[in-house]
Amino acid sequence: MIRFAIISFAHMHAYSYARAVKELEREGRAVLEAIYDDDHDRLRKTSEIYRPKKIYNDLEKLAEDKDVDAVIITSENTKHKKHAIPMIMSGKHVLVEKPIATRYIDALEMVEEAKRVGVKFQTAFVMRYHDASVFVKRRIKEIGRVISITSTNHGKNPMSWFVDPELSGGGALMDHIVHVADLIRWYTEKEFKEVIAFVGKNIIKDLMVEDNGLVIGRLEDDTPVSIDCSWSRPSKWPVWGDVYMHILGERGAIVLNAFNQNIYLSDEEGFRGVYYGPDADKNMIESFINVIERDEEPLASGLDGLRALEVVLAAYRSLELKRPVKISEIRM
Amino acid sequence: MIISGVILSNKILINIIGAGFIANELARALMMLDHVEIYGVYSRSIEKAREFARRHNINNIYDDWRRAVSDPHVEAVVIATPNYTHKEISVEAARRGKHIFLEKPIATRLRDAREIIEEAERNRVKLFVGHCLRYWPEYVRVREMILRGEIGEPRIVRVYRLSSFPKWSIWHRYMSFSGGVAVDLAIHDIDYLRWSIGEVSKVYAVGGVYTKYSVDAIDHVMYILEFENEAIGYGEASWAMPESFPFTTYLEIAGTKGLLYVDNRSTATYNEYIDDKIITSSPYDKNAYYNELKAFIRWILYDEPVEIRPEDALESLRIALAINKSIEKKEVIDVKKADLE
Repeated sequence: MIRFAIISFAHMHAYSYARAVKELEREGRAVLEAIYDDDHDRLRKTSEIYRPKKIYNDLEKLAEDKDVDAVIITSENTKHKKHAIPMIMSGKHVLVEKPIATRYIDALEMVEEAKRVGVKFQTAFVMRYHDASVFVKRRIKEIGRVISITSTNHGKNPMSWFVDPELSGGGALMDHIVHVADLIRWYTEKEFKEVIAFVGKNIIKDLMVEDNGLVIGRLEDDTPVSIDCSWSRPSKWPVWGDVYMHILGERGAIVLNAFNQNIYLSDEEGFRGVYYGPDADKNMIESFINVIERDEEPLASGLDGLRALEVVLAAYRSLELKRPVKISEIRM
Repeated sequence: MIISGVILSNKILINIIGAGFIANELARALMMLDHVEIYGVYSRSIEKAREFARRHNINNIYDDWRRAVSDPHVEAVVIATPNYTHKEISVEAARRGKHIFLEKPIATRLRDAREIIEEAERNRVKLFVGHCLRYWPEYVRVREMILRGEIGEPRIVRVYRLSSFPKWSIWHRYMSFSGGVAVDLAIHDIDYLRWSIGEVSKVYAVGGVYTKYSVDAIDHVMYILEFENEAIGYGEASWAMPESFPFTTYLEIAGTKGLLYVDNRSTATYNEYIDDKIITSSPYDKNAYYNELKAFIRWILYDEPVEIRPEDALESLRIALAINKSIEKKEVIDVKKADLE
């Protein structure tokens, strides 16, 4: 049984992870020991919903709490490092929301510190725990050598701090490249070699970050891949977005549409899809518990988080340089 | 009908040059049109021409394309031959004073396209390049919606045109004969997007020769278009999909006021399953081929404006060639500045 603290409910995934922890609490596998938040109102509200044993608004106090085995960090992107390092130093295992960080050096420091101290460090690449995308991993050898991968991770514009570059580190590129970039790495077992991104005029006026982006990359063996990371779904779209891929291989093709399991409903709130597919969030946290209890390596590690971030950073760099950027240029 | 000594047939007589897949579609559409009669058909193989003529009740056959495009009985020709032959046949047809319906792409090289256009102008014949999406029902409707401002200003576009390899003839397999999948297939979406979204300024693409059927023709392309109005688009065209992969077309446009998409995987109105064969389609007799040929005929008869000018076909070819160039150079191609000859 693992005793969790959730660090911040800034990211909406925190609500889903908290729900999963509470379900696992009923199954005797987890305890929601504490919630930390730097937003007082939010701390009060979420503690009323999820009833942790303790609440903290002081990070150092949380770090000192010996009853907390592991933390789930769901703060704003640019705060991940600040929130992770004291936890790692005090020997707590860390599950960090994606993207792992917004700067290469921050991600590297987190990964290296976790390695030095010897705690588990997992990146919340939830798609590695979704049954359909796991099934792709199991089946991909059947289509032979991979020729190309086309992917989309569309969504609605999350607004709030996601469109504040100080807190988010960027817009749609920062938010939506990493999930599918990680799947591409996982499926092919190959690293990205170079990427180029194109960003058009924003859909929503006067944002300080980009709300759209198209990326084409080459893997280390020149396999072409594409990612559409746009927040292009209107607020009234019947589902939140998609994780879609078609993978072409020498002997066949695989099409993944991970969030296609919806019941469509029209009522006074409008027309919308009600998701009934696999609970990837719960699978991911269960896997994290197993990793800690059995002393295994996380399926999606900190290094995986770092590698996916490199793709994002190369994409941003390519916007400045207006040419494809090699991943090796980012590491310099 | 006789007006001042000239016999006016109430039908335009047409020769079809080519007897392949698309010629067959075009012949079926021509049969449905008033004021048109297919006079004859040319194929390099006289047997194929005879079979085609029998199928469509055509009286005359040719195994010499020069005779077919110069026959004084006909006023217009429909050219649906392999891409690399378009120039020679079209130029000759223009010189013989025939109006020309030329299947897309206009040609495989820019200089060929220019020569066709110049020859048509010089001889004052009408040149209609069959970019059928400009007459394809859902694509036409989407453009109307865009023009009416229903999704606001277009921002992010996504298009697919995915197929298994066209094994019904040999010329697709060679880059110099077909131009590859960019020039033969992606050009549909490119031309449509130029028409609906705006001019393309930059192109970046990846792709290659992936299937065993292709000799040297690029059979799979993934491309990004940057438009002059700062919209961006992702496109993909393939001949490398597995045999069992249904022919897929997809169009999605996110605008400032809304998002639309149309996906042929979900709009089929007819599905047939017999043994291990599956046929999925949306039968539409008065389809894009009918619509575009009707426009061509009305252009000849009444000088009614059409949706495609020859220069459009040339510009769309330029972007398709920019895709090939980007794959070769691994660079972003500036469409206006690049040497795409």
